[in-house]
Amino acid sequence: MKENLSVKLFDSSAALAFRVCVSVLVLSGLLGTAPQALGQVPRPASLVPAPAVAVPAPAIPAAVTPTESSATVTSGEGTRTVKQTLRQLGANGALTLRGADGRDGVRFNVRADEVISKATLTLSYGFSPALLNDGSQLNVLINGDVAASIPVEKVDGGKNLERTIELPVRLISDYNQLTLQLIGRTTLQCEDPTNNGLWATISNKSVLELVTQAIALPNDLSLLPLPFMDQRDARSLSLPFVFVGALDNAMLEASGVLSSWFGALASGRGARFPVTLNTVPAKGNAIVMIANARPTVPGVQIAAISGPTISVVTNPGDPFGKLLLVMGRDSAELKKAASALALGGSVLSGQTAAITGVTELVARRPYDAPNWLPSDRAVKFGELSSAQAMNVTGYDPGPIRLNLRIPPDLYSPKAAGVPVDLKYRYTPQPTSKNSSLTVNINDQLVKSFILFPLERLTADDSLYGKVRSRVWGEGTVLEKLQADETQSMVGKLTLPLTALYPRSQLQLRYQYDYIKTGECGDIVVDNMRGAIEPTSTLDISGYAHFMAMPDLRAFHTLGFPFTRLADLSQTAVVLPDTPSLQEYSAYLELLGRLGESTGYPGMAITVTQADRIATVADKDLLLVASGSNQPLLKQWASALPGSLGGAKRISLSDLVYEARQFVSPDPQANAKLARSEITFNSVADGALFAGFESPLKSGRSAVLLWGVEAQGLRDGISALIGGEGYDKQLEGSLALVRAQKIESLVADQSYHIGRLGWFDQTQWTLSRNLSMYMLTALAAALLLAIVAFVFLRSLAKRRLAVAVGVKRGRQG
Amino acid sequence: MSFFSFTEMPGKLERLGGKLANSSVWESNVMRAIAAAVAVLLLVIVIAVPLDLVQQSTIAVLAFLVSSKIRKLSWGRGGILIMIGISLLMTMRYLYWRVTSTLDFETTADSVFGYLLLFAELYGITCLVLGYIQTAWPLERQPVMIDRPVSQWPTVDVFIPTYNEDLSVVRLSVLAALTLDWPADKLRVYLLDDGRRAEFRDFAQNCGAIYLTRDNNRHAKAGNLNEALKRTNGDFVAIFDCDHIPTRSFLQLSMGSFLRDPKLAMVQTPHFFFSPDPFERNLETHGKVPNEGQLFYGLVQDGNDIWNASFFCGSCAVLRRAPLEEIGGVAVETVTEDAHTALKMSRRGYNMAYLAVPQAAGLATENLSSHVGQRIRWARGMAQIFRIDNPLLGPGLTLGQRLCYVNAMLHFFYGLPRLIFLSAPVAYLVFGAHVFTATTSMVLAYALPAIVLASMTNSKIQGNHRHSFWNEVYETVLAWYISMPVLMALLNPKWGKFNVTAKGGKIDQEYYDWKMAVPYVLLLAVNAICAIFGITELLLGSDEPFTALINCVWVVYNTVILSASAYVANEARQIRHTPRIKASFPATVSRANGRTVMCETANFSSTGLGLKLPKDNGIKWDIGERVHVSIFRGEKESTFPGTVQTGGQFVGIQFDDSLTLKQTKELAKMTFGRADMWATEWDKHTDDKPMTSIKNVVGHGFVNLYGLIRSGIRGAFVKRRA
Repeated sequence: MKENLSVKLFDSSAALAFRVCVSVLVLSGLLGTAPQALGQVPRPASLVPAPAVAVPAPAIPAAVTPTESSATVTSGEGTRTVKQTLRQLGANGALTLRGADGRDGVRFNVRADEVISKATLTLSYGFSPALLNDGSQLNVLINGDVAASIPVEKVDGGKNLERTIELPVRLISDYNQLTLQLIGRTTLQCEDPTNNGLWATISNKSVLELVTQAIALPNDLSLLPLPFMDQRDARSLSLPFVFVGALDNAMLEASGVLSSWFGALASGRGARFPVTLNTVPAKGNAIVMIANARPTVPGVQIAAISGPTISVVTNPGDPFGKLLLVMGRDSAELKKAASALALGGSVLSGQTAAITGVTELVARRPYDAPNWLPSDRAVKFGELSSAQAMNVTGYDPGPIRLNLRIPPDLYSPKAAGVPVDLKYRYTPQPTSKNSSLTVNINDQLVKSFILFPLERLTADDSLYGKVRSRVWGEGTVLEKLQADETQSMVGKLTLPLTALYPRSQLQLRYQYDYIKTGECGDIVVDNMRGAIEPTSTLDISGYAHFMAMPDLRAFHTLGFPFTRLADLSQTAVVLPDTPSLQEYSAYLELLGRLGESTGYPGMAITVTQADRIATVADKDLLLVASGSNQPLLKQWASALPGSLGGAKRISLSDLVYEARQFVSPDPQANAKLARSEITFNSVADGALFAGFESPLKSGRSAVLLWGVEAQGLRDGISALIGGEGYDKQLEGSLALVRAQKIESLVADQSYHIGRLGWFDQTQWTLSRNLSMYMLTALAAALLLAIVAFVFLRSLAKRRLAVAVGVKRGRQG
Repeated sequence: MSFFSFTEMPGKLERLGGKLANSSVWESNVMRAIAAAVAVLLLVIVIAVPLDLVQQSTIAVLAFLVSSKIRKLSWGRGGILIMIGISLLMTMRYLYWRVTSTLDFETTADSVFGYLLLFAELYGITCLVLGYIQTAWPLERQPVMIDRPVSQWPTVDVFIPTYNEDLSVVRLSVLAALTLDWPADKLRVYLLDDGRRAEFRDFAQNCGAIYLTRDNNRHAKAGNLNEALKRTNGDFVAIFDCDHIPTRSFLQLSMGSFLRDPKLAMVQTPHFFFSPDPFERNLETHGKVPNEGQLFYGLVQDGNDIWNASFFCGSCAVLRRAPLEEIGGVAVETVTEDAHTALKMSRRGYNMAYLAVPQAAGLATENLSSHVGQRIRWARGMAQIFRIDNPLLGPGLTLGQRLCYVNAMLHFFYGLPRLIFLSAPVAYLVFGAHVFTATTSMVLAYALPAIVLASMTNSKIQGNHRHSFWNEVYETVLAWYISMPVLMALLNPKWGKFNVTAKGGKIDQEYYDWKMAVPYVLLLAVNAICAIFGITELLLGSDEPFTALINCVWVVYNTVILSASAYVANEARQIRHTPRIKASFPATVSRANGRTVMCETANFSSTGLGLKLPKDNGIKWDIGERVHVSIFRGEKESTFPGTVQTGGQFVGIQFDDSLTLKQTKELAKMTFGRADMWATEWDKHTDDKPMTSIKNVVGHGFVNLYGLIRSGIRGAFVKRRA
């Protein structure tokens, strides 16, 4: 039974108009699993654990990332216990509950292939001694339902208390909101809802312990990217890749496409991709890349294939683990299968899908990555966030956050800012003094708008207002707003370019003045609303793309310059001739980072080796190497900022001494660092990032990730993923990573990438070359003089000829 | 003409320049347009390049060195144009930097003072650029011969308007006009008396002029001329103020062009004053430092001529009747009817010409207040034209004409900007305002080269027509007085009133015109306060000692200029009612004893002669001796009776009051009317030497400051005693 299915896909960012056409040949029911409706995740109705098979060993591949150290204890088949502090769930500080009805909380999610069998919350908390026993209570809510209500005993006021509560598991679903609510009373008379004696704090060290039971999901492609990547799992993603068959560059490219896709899906979690050859991991999920007409994987039954095919099967060693088989008769077909998966993964269904063709309709343009702020037009806020997220309720709701990824190479000769055209609405209070809408960028204040109360909106008492209403007969602001409902308040502001980092956050915060109306008059009517119109815009299109390189910071934050083209079509990865597993893994993880930056799979990545380097001369190069397994490093020694012997030593090349600008504000400290030789303590320790201009073509960039030994690459990738434990970023042109320490050694900027308009380009060139400037200036003055001379001479001749009446002027 | 004019054998550079300028490439209009576009493009690029302090200072020094080298070379027009190019470059760099990088003001005081200063600077830069355009290439027009038989010469009406001037002033002008070399049947001299005085009528009838008057004084001089236009019919109209005495060659020299160019509507000649103006008299610079008129008639009008934008100055000019009548006669809408008339004719497509040969001479304004009054009128009139008939708008003008006219008008708006410059140090020293949001060293690196190069270039262009820094004094004196009328006229052209310039009197006693000096004394006081603040700040230790120091230097400069200006109000004695004019031509004296002494004249006036005798001649003269003096012009001899006033090597002779009209006419012809009378003396000052000039101004400034304080104390003392 075959059916042909043709699906048109739209990129998440509608504006990109990027379309992919994937023709999928669905072979359903081949392995006996009925196709499920798209997007529906089947869940068992009861919480009965699946049949236990006595296989010990951890169910989750060891993937301890620095960000997460939640204790995971596994006991029994598919059962594990996860302990997470509120801090790990996102509470950066203690949860502070204020007022008569104070609330705060965190979110936690449950993986699709797990169910909760037990949940306990160990609260560490304290409350105000002023609270009365009567009426005061601390409620624990899950998704709005009361899970527990903790009495507030006056005798315990001001003490640090601990209490463990069992949470009813039936309240827990996939996505959960754990809320703590304080109902506080300090008096039996009329309560002042803003009384500052009304408080309780919940420590973010409070622990939520979940005992989960794995469940076997059906083998269905429609679940993709589940279960390989589960958005509900806040932990770092670790997804093994298994290479089966001839391991050539095309297979690596196919794997790179998938790893960047998973990197994009994993986003901030970080993604690791351990690599094995020919053997699937005993437990858990894995991606199996197969280039063979008759694919054989030990323990896995696979039918012969007749073209690019994608299939999902159960891990033979683990009933809860799945293998994603990406197959082709040769590596070219494999690549096709990988592309189809990355572009159309979510429309596949059934256990196996044969791919008939993938056509990318529109080529990517530079800087059009879905995750990046478009730099060719003004961007509406609606494209950056949902309208729902831009509507807030309450007197002091948290800030509305808009995450911006800004190309790191924006350049302007004048230090102007980025114009923001803000349109906002709010509930005007009858009277207020201090209500405001504050705009911050990366926690720096940019501008604060006063939220005028009704009295100011209805009668503009300022001189200007009077003149306006008398002379021009203009109505008040309120009248205008009421007359036209589409109108909103308009605010203009400029974000300073210097405060705009490649990863920035625009924070808009409504804060309303709470007006006291006297005892018993205070009724909190929660009608305070604030909204940012999705039509508000932010515009970075006025900037040119131009940047001094090398700049490892840009590489670290956004994978720049490789991510300039989101499909990585301008990127070539250069691997050693005989790479180790760690190098494969580092390659996949690097691509995962690039995918995370762009939000788009690196469809057009090129992988190559030193002997074929000439074919990728016109690309930006990403080199992965360790020890002395990359002969290019020797050849290119003069271009590298440091020479990397196979020994334990890096001696920095002469380029260091030409360094113009140092990383640290204290140039002396940098110079000292740069002049010294760096000695490694242990052999396998550490990795190094180097940025330099490609020796093959000027204006092209190269970034090297080099491990002293292959194991060191892991440190390098961890540093890129970053997170807790890393207080620095890669910077400059040479940075050393040892364990969790990043040292930026050199910051020479030897070349520039990007293009300025001809005018800015000449300005820029002239300002850096004074003698050329002087020659140009002199040429300008001389040419002007000669042109003026010639013109005036002929004008004088004409004037005098008229006066004399003949052509013969006195001046001749 | 070659790019450079050489005094020596041309060097490699000059030959190259000459070749470049004479290349046949320039015959193609397309090539010219391309070259112009490239030049402008390069200039724009160079102007906007951001440079740091060291770089900017480097190019400033380089520009200065190149410019001062060229200044010393005799590279003629080419050299001047290169200097203009370099100056423009540095000025525009400054302007671009000023506007884009220094206006990020913090406080209200900063903004107020900062924008005021910016306004003044913008004005200054506009005038600088327009001035370069205006004076880049003085046309140096030469008189054109009249090459047709006398019978075909056109008829000319000479108009001499008068209102309330003394007959003694008018007399000589009318008589000199009657002796103009022009066929008698084609020349009519009209005395246009708005004062309706019988005395004038009689004089006119006796001497052969035609007396015209009218029953009203509508539109003053313009109305007077228009009335006369209606009642006369000559092909051409020559107009002289009643105190301007024409030379006999005036028409011969100025009429030639009219016969060649049928579209030519006006020929203007310079106004020459044989008496010192109050500046020259009170600062004792007459004959040493060129006055304002020298710059205007020596350079500006000649520069205007290449753009076909020389304008009518009310006197010493010939106009073609037809175009004048076409525009409805002399313009009456503004108080500077002359310039407006020329503008109107230019709009109709007529040509204007300027002939830089002084063919008439007159009396300068005799005291400061009347001088100021005259300038107020000009300034007001120009502002009125700017308002009601702006040369930038309206039909008929070429771009060059528009720019020249606009500059002529903008020139008179200098009042407010100059007052701002004179009091600007107050902003920082007293109010602590920062008018630039930039470091002082950056301001200097940008502003100094712009100022210095502009001065150098202008000094080179203006050469002997103006000496550096003296015009600062001229403008400073007038700044206060003209800023208000100009502002009023700009707001409403009807505001303000007309005033007549009185001429021809004498000042019996030196006095200080305190009333006139009040503004400068006030400005001096402001600068003195600034100096006190500045010195205190420097002594007590300042956060910005460099800024304070620069402001103090500025205060010193202001003080020098203001002192010199304030001293102009110190009216020096003017002994003679009729000023003496230095002139040397052959003469003989027939004495009562029958002997004749051959000698040369040293000077003359309308009432007497100074004679220079050979040294140690041993001749004894009796005071009061009656003699007959003969003056020669070529073969021609004229004799006048007179009495000896002083004897010795220099003999002073006063003519008898009883000179007949015929004799007076003859006298005018032999003295004021000599064709080369003024041309030899006019515009023959030494070239500008800015350093000498500044030394002189500073010298004057400090001496004058001392004198000012002294006379101030004395004045106060006298007042108290009285």
